[in-house]
Amino acid sequence: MTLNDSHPVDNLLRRYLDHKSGDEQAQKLANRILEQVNMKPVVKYGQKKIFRKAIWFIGMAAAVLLAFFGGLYLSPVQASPEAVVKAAMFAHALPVDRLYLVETTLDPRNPISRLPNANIPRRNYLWTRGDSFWLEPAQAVKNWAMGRNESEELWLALKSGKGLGIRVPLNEVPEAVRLTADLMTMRIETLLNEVLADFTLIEEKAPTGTHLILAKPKLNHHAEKIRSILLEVDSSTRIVRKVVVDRVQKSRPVALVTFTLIETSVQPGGVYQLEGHLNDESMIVEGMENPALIPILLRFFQNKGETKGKSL
Amino acid sequence: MRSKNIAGIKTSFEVSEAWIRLNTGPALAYAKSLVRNHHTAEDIVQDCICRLIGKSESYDLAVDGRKLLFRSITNASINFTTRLRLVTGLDQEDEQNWVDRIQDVREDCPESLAVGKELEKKIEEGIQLLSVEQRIAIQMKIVGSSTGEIATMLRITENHAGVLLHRARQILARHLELLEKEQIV
Repeated sequence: MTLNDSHPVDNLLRRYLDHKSGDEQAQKLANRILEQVNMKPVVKYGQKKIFRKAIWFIGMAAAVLLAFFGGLYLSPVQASPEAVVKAAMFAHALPVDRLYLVETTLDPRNPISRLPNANIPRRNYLWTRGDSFWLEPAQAVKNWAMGRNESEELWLALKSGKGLGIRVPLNEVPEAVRLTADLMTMRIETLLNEVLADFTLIEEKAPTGTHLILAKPKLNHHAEKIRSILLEVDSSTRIVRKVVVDRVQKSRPVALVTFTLIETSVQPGGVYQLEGHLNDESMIVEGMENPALIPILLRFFQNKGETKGKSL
Repeated sequence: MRSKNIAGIKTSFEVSEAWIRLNTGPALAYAKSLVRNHHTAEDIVQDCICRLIGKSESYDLAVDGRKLLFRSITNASINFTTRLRLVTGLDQEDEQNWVDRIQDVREDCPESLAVGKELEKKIEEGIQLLSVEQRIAIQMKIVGSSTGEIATMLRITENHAGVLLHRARQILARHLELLEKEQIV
């Protein structure tokens, strides 16, 4: 008889119950309960805001509870770099959205940096939730957005005119597109996983309340793309506040990409989907069905890649 | 700000609020699986959480809260269904309504996207295949109750509780087609 706690059915059922936390009816009931126990006056929000607030609370509560149960509270003095990265992975696994400012500065040794205006740092905003992300320009005119959804698809939304959306499974994305997308974005869960497994971690001197970890690749396949990664982790929340990636391409310097955390909140689920960035009249094409559109995707990313010095 | 002691760590009332928000959904789903009536389930959950919060000085809400909540929901649901058995003939109709309501809830819930609607539906169908005792056994187990605690709650022997749990897992696994994939014995 199997009675252990690791039974796959138990895990599925546990996840099913946990996901019921986000149920709107449950949150309405929670509001009534909170009113009854007089714990906190329930502020009248619109339905959407109640739900978003609830999800934020759930994320925070999950962080607190999991920290208790997991015994992951590490004091800043005792934590090894590996433990800090593990704790950060744990913190970033929660369904909370984080906004990072992405600044790309070309390496002076990169020949592209000699082109006019090439040395102006490029800025984009990157929203992340787990391994999903979406990116838009930091400039006032946000005429494009790109992202990666939970179904392992890369999408691009071109907002001018009625709008055009292109969605391609990641395994069908041309290498040049993938490289540029990698340069401009960050999949925080994957990054932390890889840092832990394939990088040598060195704790650097840091101000109180911060862990500064320098990661250098152990393996050649990483060394071809990344020289080093500097992680700035908040000591108490374990959230990665800043990531500086020294990008190389076949050992030739490319650019320094800095991701700085500027906001933590809850975004509507749709923002990680292509449809969330287009209107009803926009045309959406699937790359699988329309291979002719792949060149458009390629041109867009090549253009972005050139301005960021990727096309060495 | 008012504060109270949870799990030995001073936390704000916002954490207690978060605990309520975090646990109301699972508790409601659990209660619905036992009483098969949305409104009754809501009443039971509201009552149990309020009583639990009222006595939160005497235990660690963060550590034991969900287990205690599920236990008190179990007792309340058993009381309710025992009384309900006197009124036969309404059960089937009520069950159908419950299924409809569950489907509506699922369609409105963005979180269900994360689990996958099909899987969620399968799990809900699977739970309906279980007897009430099996539902209690497996759901109490996943919130951290031991077989002994389940046995005490259901007033059965520990072996019997183990059998209930095992069968509940088998039925669910078979329904979810996990038997072949995961080689569950």
